[in-house]
Amino acid sequence: MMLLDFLLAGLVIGGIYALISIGLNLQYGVARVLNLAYGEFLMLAGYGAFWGFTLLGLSPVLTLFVGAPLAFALSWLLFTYVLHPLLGRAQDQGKREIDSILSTFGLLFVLQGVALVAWSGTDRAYSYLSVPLNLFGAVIGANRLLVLVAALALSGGVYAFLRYSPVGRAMRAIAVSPRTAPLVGIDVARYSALAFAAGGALAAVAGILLSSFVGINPTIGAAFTMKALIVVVMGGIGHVLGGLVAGLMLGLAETLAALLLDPGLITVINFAIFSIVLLWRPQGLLGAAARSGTQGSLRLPKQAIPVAALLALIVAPRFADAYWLSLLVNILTYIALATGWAFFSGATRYVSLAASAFFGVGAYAVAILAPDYSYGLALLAAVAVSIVLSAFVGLATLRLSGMYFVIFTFGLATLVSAIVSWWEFNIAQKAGRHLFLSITTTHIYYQLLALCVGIIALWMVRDRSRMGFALKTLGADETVARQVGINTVALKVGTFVVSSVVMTLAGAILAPRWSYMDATIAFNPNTSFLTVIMALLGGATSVWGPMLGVVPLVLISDYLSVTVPNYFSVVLGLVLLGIVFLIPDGLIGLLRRWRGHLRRPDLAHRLHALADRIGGGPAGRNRVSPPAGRNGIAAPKGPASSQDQSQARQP
Amino acid sequence: MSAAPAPLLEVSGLTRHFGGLAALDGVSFTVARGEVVGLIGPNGSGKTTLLNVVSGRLAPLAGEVRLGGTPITGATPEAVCRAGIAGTFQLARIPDALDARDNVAVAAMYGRRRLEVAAARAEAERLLARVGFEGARSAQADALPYFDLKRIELARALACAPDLLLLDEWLAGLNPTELEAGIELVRSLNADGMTIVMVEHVMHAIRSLCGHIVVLDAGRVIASGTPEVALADAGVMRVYLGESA
Repeated sequence: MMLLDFLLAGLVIGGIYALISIGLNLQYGVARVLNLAYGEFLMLAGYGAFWGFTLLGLSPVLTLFVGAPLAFALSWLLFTYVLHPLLGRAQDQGKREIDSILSTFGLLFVLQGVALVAWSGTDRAYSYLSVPLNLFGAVIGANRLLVLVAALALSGGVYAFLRYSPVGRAMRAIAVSPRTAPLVGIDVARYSALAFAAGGALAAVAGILLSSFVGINPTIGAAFTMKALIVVVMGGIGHVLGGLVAGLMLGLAETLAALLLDPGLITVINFAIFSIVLLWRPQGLLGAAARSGTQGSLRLPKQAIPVAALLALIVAPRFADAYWLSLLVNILTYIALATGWAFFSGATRYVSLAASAFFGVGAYAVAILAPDYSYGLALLAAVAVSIVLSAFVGLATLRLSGMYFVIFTFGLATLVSAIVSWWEFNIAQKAGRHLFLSITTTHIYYQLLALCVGIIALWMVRDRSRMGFALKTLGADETVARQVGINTVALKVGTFVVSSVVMTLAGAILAPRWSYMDATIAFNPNTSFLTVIMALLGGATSVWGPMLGVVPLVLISDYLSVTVPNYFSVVLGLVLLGIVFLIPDGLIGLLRRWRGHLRRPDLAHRLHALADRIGGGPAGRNRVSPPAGRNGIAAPKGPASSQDQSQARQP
Repeated sequence: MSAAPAPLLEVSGLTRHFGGLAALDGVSFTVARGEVVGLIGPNGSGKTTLLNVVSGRLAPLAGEVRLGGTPITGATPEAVCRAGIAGTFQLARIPDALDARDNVAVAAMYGRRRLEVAAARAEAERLLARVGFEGARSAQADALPYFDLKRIELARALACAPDLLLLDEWLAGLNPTELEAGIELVRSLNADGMTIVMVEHVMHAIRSLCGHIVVLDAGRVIASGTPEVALADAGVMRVYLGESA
């Protein structure tokens, strides 16, 4: 009867997966927000149930009736007042997806940080209805049975609602085509908000149910987001029944894997299933979304600035004391990471959340190989592993729409970390590793400097070669790129591999700085987070952008980690949200706009001349007399006034 | 033109469904080298799907596409481009990440010729002049009139150095003056030896350019031949004008 026990246990956790995947499906399929903070709602609701039970003696069943409407209301507010206005201003679907990923990624860190500060990192569990029941000869806790029944009933209810109610039909119409839905009288904004809110409510229900048999801690959210995403992809975006079946299957697969193999391998199993699904039937899932709208190329700053900066950096260790040197090492590490990241993600607009995976691979390769063999061999091994890993990730996901890539890289660090932990614990039988290498900080500094110069030089060469043109076309419109003969898959995978190798080397070079290392240190998700926000703060589409973001953020995070260590992730999360809200093109975009303002009269001028010459087309057709501002005297500054000029100029 | 030797493009039995809808249902026709073939039919008859299958953006369920005798069925768009087919999109797609010249140059860098940057830019300037683009080569797409975007698209397709050019309603949306200029341009490309397949609703353009047309309805070829013969066909009259015609 062991097997039946396990089947039931698998179905219980599978029921939770089904619930959260249905909720995520509503948020992504209908409201078009890929909510990476989804699991945080589950986590908060779990805490709500825990505190309700321990402080007030509320049974979780009662909490459900308070928590679900509350989560519904909060999610509705979040969508209506934050996400909808934020995402509504994106000019195209690609930009909208990137903004939604970044803002919810920031939200994830804020909510996780708040929970950590408020309730510490310990598991919180309570005992509710944990009496064993006998069911067809199998033994199951009453609380788990309740969870299973509730999850199945609710999934069925949501399915029936979407299938048969007018509101559900409207939501499905939006999921199929958000552009044509308004043509048949559907209020897209209203139903999107409802769908997003319903998704939040389902996450809360799942969290409350989960808390009755699993301990809650601030970091459980991301794992559930990941699983919900996997289930959504497996079941098909927009398919509630598919999600229900896939959720139950994933729960069963995990439980069986834990029974037959090793509980430490659950993450690996998840990813294996995910990869198989992606490789096997991606065409049944969401098709490739066209991405467009990159800005024009930026003129390089005067060569003198980079050369002077490089010279200063070369001599810096002679003058810097230990503190400044370590700060410089920090800055160079993140310049390598952020520039390496943007080398791929900035050009292709595929957002990778896996910087810490590659960084950690590099660090661990050195920790394992350098003491027994040689440092050089460790570097080579790190490069080899990252090439294989990134090529695999690239081939599995980069043929598809950018969303799959984001999802996969979001979990990649967890996956690699799980594999390394499992290996260390079961095979190498070590909890962590002590590193005693005779490599000085100065040595590390120069290696990092070489790495940074290498990636920047490579980027500059690339921009001037055919590949730079191909990447610009690809980043703007992949269909066009393929039409003119560019092998976009090879281009994307190749660029991703180079980018990953750079990030891996950053980890490998920095590793000797640590005297002790374990998987949680090497694969710290903050590395991914910081890399992404630095590159975006600076501007990821041009070679000098990322480092513009690195310097202020390293200084800020250095300051924060000393003064408010507990609020570190909260503040950084807020910084990310602020960046997405306030400076969508990054610092370098701001610089460009300032310069653009100065040049604008000239541009307006050129356009008039152009329109006159052509004489056809919308801009030039009505023109009767030559523009009065042609000599440049009357040409005003600023984009608004230059537009006025082009429309209002009639004699 | 009917005496042409082996056809350049052979399409046989192409079938493609979208759900229960047969967008293409056993479509066959051939295009001889040097011809201008018009593809016409009511909206939804499968013209754009046919172009998408030929150019590799969609895989067919059944059937075969051959270019110069070599099967290219189900090849990726980039492979089809390198095999020698280039085309324009129904709605002009000119990324403004690149200026007008570089949008064309990138097709000369990849496409069939693989020119280096400087040579590709020179070629792009030549082709932009060839299609009559008079705007500033450094202009971004969002600053250009519609006909210019169409010209850049055409120059970009030519920069791939194709044997066969697919035009998807390239003449649609032009004003009468532009339309005449567009027709002359297509005619002169053909006079230079380019084989062209064009999807078009402008009958005047079809009559004056095409030596041969293929009429599609509901995914099937219902008539083909010279414009005079095919357009006079009873089935075609019915499809375009209704049952009583």
